[in-house]
Amino acid sequence: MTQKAKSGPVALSQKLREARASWEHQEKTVYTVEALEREINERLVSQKDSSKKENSGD
Amino acid sequence: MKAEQFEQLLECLTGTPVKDLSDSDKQFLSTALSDDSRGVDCSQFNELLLIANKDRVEQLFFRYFFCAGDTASEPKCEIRDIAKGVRRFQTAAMLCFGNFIYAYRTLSRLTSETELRRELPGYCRDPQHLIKRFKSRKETVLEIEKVPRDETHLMGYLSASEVVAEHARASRLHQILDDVTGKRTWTALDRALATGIADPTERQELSRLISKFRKRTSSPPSPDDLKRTISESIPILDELLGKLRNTQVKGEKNTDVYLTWDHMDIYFATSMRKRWEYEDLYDFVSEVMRDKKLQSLNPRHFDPTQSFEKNRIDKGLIESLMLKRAACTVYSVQDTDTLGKDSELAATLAQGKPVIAYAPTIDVDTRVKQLIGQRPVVLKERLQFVHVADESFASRFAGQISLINDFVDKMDAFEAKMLWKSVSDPGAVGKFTRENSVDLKKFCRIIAESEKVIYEKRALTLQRHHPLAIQVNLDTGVANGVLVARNPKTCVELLFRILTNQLEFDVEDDQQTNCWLLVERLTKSVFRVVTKDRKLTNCFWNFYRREREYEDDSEG
Repeated sequence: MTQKAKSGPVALSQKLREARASWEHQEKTVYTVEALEREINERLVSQKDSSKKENSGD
Repeated sequence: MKAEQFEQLLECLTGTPVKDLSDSDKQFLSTALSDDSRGVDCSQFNELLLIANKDRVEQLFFRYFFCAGDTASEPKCEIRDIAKGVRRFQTAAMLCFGNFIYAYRTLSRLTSETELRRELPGYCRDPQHLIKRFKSRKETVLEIEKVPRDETHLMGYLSASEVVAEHARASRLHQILDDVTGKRTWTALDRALATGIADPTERQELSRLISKFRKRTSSPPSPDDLKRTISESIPILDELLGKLRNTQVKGEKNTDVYLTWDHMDIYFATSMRKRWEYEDLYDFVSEVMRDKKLQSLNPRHFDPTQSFEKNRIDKGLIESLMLKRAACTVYSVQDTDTLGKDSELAATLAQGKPVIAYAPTIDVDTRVKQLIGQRPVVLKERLQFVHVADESFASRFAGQISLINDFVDKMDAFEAKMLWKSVSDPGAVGKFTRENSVDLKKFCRIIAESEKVIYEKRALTLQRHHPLAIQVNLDTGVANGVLVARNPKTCVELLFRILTNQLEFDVEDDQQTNCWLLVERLTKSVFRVVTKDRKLTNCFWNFYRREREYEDDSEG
């Protein structure tokens, strides 16, 4: 890709589109702090804890 | 006055043309109307109506519209003032009936002022009486607990999820750093991450965080440096999480307070996701509501930046209740339409209440100053919005695309070094602002100029082109239009006039749309319309008014 093409409107659109897509994906209006914490903490557990949880049938 | 002119006025008054006038009728009218200064009373006015084959009017109608304020037992109207009386009638008819035929038929036959006030609820209310009523209102028993401007965004999902996620990631990373056995190296940390985090996305997020940290300084940092930095960040993120919890609790309490208020006058409709959307609305609502003129009425308003409800169903019900209770809605046009606020606009108009659509006039120089100094991530988001909302962005700024691209890269490079999205580093932002002052100014000017174009276009669309800017009161069939305000001062004046029944109008016979328009004087916005299409008029009122009369009869 030439330098000119890199700095053109297409390149700009791509850069901005990516960020906007992530914003649109996240569009929600209601939440509780507890639910958000639960959600993130479930994702942050270790593989060991995760397998334990799966085996326990939770 | 010429006979032809009188005929036209009678068509405006009764909603139907004057028909079948003989030459002698026309001669009678010419003679009777020849002296403009001649005063006619109700009886003489009725004689003129009968000559023109039109129904007579009661004394009350004649006094109210043609002799406004005249308390004489037999009030008179000069021939030259008949046109003014017709305009007064048209205004009242457009406001409360949405057509002239039924309005004339109903109002011309009324004999008591009580009945007249009942038929013209929005027209007859005395401004002085309303002002007195507002001023005599007692203070609320409960007041909301104000959420400060820079914490309002915590009421939104995006900010909240960011704070919670970054807090949890910092704590977990700190724990993993503690758990690294043996020598704490980057490779050992990578290994610990691979087994320590089950979710691949989160693993990626933490790897990105570590990579950001490693790129921050010119001299290569160690995992111990990272641990120190994370240890320093945790109390800051703890504090932010605490603020988030408090804000949510405060917002929930505020919602309860709003629900209990015995009066609700103004509803602010908006859509807020990003931090700057909360802060922009906070600034706008504050500027409008602290204005002395509006403050003199001590009106109550629902401010969405101060309210929180976690249950989406209850949230919808609460907003619907506020829309029912408030006398009017102020709709923030913003850069995009959203289902939520557009529904609120429609629900207000469908109840026959006024909507003020606020589309700010952008002063580019002032706006550039406001934008400079904002965090790069915010500037990039603002660029995203104008890039999407401004269809002509690429062509208008074709010569500056390289500058925009390069500056976006610079902003990305800056943000790549920021460990936390939810925690800003004012020192680093200040340094970025100083080091890039020339390009930053050019970049902010591009955003400001684009915002100006967007808001001009959106204001024009609402004022002139959008079919849904005029919507029907589902109860009465009266077609209501949106009032478009371009600055907070105009919003204040409109709100004052709405609350005290002092809006001023001009009646326009619009050839382009083939409609009668009731145009609000301050903003030149179309507030009411009456179509001249006979087929539509007939069909429309057969279903609206006739059905209403049928329902009324059924109840009786």
